[in-house]
Amino acid sequence: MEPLTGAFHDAITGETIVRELTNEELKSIPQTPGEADDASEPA
Amino acid sequence: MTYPVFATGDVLPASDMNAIGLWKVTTATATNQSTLSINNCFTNNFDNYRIIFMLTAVSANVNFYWRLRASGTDSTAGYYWGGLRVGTLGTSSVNANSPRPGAEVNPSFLSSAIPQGTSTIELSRPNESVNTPFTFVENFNDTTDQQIRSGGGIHLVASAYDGITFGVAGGATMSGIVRVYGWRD
Repeated sequence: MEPLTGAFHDAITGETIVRELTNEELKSIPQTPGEADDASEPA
Repeated sequence: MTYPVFATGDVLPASDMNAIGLWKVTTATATNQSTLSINNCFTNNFDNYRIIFMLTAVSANVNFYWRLRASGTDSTAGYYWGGLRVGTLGTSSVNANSPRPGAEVNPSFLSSAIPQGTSTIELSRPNESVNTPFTFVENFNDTTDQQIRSGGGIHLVASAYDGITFGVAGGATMSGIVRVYGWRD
C-alpha cells in the first residue's frame, strides 16, 4: 500500500509541498470509511 | 467617484478598494492526497472568512471532514454542529450531533463514482482566541442519492487558528481545490 500523503499549502508564499503524513497526522485521520461516522449517528 | 460601479480608466483610490467586500486570500490544490492543509490563511486582516471546497475525485466511498489548524497542527477536539440533510430522492435527516471531541466535522458520504461536490463554509473570527462559530452549505453525491446539507455549529476551543485542513477518512485519497476568502471588516 502506498504511504498516505498530504498537500501543505502556505498562503503567504503560495507554495505547496506534498509529503508523507507523519505518524501523528495518520493517527488523527478518522478511520471509519462510511456512513457509520455520519452526524446522524450517536456520538 | 464612480463607486461602486467602476468605468474603464477610473483611478481606484484606497477608500474604494478597501470597501471591496470579499478578498481572495489563497487557492490550494490537492491531487490524490489524504489531506489538504492550508497554513497562514487566517490572519488579523479579516474577522470572517468564506472557504469553498470543490471536490473533483475521491478514491473510495468515504466521509469528508475539515478541521481548524494552528502552527501546523490540526485541532481534533471540540466541534459542535448540526444540520439538515436533504436527499433529492427523498431520504432526509436532521443531524443534531453532540460534540465529538477528536472526531471529524461536516462528514458527507462521498461517492467515488460521482465525486463532484462543493462545500461552502463561513468561519467567524478563526484567528482570534475565542470560540469559532461556523455555518456551512454543501452538496455531495453519496452512493444512492444527491445530498444537500446545510447547518452550523461552533468549534468550542478558545484558541487562535491560522489554517485549515480538509481530508477524507479511512485511508482514501482525494483531489480538489480550496479557495479561502476574507470578508472585509
